Amino acid sequence: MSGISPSTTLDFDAALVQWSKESKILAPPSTWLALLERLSVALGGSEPLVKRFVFIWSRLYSATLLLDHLQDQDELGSSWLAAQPVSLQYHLAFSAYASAQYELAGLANDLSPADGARLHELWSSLVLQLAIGQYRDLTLSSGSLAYDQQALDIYEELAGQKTGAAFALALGGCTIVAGGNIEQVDAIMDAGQMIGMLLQYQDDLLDRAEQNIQPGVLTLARAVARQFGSGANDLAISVLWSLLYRRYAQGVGSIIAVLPRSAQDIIGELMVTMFGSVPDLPAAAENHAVWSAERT
Amino acid sequence: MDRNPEQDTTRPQELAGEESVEATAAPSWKDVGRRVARTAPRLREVAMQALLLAPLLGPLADDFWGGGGSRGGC
Repeated sequence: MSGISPSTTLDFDAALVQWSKESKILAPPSTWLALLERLSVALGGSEPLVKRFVFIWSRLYSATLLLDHLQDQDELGSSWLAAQPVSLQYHLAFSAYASAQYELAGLANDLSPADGARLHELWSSLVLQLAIGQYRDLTLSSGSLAYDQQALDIYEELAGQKTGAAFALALGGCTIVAGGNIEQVDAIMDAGQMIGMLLQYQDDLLDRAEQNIQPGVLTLARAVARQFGSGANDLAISVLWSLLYRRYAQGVGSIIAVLPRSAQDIIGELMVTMFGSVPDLPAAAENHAVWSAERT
Repeated sequence: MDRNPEQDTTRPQELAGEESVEATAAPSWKDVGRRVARTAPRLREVAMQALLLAPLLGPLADDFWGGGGSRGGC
């Protein structure tokens, strides 16, 4: 905590950084940001430009987390922010988006015209996806699905549109700032999309005990229950995570094979930092999973 | 019959212009979604496998969480 009294009135710039600096909940971990910087440098990026992009992305991500926490009425992790009127809390989220957009325009001007245009286009289209995903999340309740069979498909789409898009933007932007070619940008955005979706699944599964206070929200555990007609116990949830992580790690590994070895290693390190080591599954279970996958 | 675009004098100027824009265009998020859908397993299939596997794994199961727990989704 910074020691700033909750009643202190800060100027705009100070207020913008105060809450994300104070709250560990609303800021992406510094280890993730350091790995994003290393990834971009490994792809040929200039360190000052890379650092600017990663800072801008972290501001966007913090704004998104703030909005999400406000909408879900979750704890904010900042006594200063929590003491502000709700209207100001929402305004600070909006302000962080606006500030990130302004900073991005400055960064794009310092890239080649083609890369600057690519970065602008990527940013605006993926931030729009974040907005659409959050809108769908807020307007869809788990009780309003027309067909139970859609529950997991819709949840999967939302995960892709929200956290998936955020990480496709992080990794794709790092690659554009590094002057990466189209093949590299495509591969790394696909990997970022899968990493983001996996983060959403993990976050939701780990949070499921606290989700009882939001009975109408479509969560992963509820989507499983809706689709298969019964709730998944802790063991099934644990196995679900294990299978998802293993399959996604394999998918990401195959996608990023086109990248230099050093970049592949950093993406692997990012996944271990975010999710831990890929869990073991007894060989019999692995074989059963492959067998049932082939039958579906 | 295939024709070499460089020798094709009937080829419209506009098409050449479109291709040069395409070469520097930002990737589309929809394309990302399509490619990921081909690579990543469908969530409903993995969930079904987990529900089938869990009873079989009961005696073997320990903790599959792997020590992550980053808590940063939105």
